[in-house]
Amino acid sequence: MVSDDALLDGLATGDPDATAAFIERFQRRVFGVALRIVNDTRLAEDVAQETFLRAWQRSSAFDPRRGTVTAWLLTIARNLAIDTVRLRRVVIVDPVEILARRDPNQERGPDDLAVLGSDTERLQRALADLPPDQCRALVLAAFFGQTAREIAESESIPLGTAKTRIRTAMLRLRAALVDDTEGTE
Amino acid sequence: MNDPTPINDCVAVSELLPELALGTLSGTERADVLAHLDRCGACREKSADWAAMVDVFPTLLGEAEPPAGFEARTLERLQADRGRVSRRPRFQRVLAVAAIVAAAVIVSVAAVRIIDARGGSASSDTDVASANMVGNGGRYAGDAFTTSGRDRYVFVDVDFGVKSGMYRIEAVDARDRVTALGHLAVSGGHGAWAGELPRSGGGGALAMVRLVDPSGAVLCAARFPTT
Repeated sequence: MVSDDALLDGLATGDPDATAAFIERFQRRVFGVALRIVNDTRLAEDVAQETFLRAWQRSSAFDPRRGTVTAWLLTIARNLAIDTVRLRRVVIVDPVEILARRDPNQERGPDDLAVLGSDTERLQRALADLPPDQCRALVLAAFFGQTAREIAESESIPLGTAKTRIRTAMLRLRAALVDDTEGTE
Repeated sequence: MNDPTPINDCVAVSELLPELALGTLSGTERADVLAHLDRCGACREKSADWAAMVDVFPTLLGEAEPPAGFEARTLERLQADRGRVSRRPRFQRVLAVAAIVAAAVIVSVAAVRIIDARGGSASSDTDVASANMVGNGGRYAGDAFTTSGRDRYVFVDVDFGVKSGMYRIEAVDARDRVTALGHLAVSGGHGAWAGELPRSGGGGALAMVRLVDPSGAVLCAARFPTT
């Protein structure tokens, strides 16, 4: 199986076969991120198409030392989806629900299995263990781009409380990643 | 004093790094934190750790099946955009290069003739020949230009589909002798290089200019007619 990095190289140089293979390999994940955030099929397709366009335009900026192609690509999708939510004033569904709707049987590429899969599973477990108010604050910040002030307003809580919820949630997730990593070494 | 105290110590900055990674800091806080990171390597490392964790977040959202025809529509959109990028600047670049060469190299010549590999020229005393830089599978990657005359110059302009990095530029003559011309830095898909073509001892005509990566692989090449 061709590596993700090699497919990205092919996308960058305009190789038609590599480009088609790149889209085929990542389209479900890119569309999944877009759909969960914008909650509209047509908007999600726009976001997903734009994601692949940006990936081609910015392929030279990808640095394999800083992460996988999947993480890089899905971050582009996340940022574009957040821009869309802000621009179109998309109504946010229950923030915790977007995590519950993911398909547990999703496929992963060869590069993900080595690096990304384990981190994703650890983060999923850690998120499930978070108190609901911290989980909501984190999801609103991470997937809908809301600032602490916006979260404080939407959740009717003081700004300091919103900041504490985000920070505590992030610390717990990081602790879960570090603990699991140390436990497996 | 009405100005808020800038956030500039490691403890205060550390508390804001999770929000910096999430991209949800306010403008003032973000500016303060970034200013501190410019000066503090330890905090930069912590910031990178947080960013790495946030990079994994989108994978938590899982997959969804795109609408029928998504792949074809996306390919079509990519190809349309690539066509615009590869066609738009060429004529402008040819003119720009002709002007540069005419001004910098051929001081006494009133006009420069551009010979495009695809045909078309206008008469004058000195020629500038151009050819597409072509990569694997015939993919367009930029243009190369060379002047005729006693002192010959080469200009390489890469504008499409080459990853950022430092590449070696080589000239190959009609007898397959290779001469290293210099190095071209590509950043953000773009890079240009200009320099003199050393006089070949055997008098071989320039047949090819090529871009070579650090491993020695040829990324793309422009071929010039030698007859």
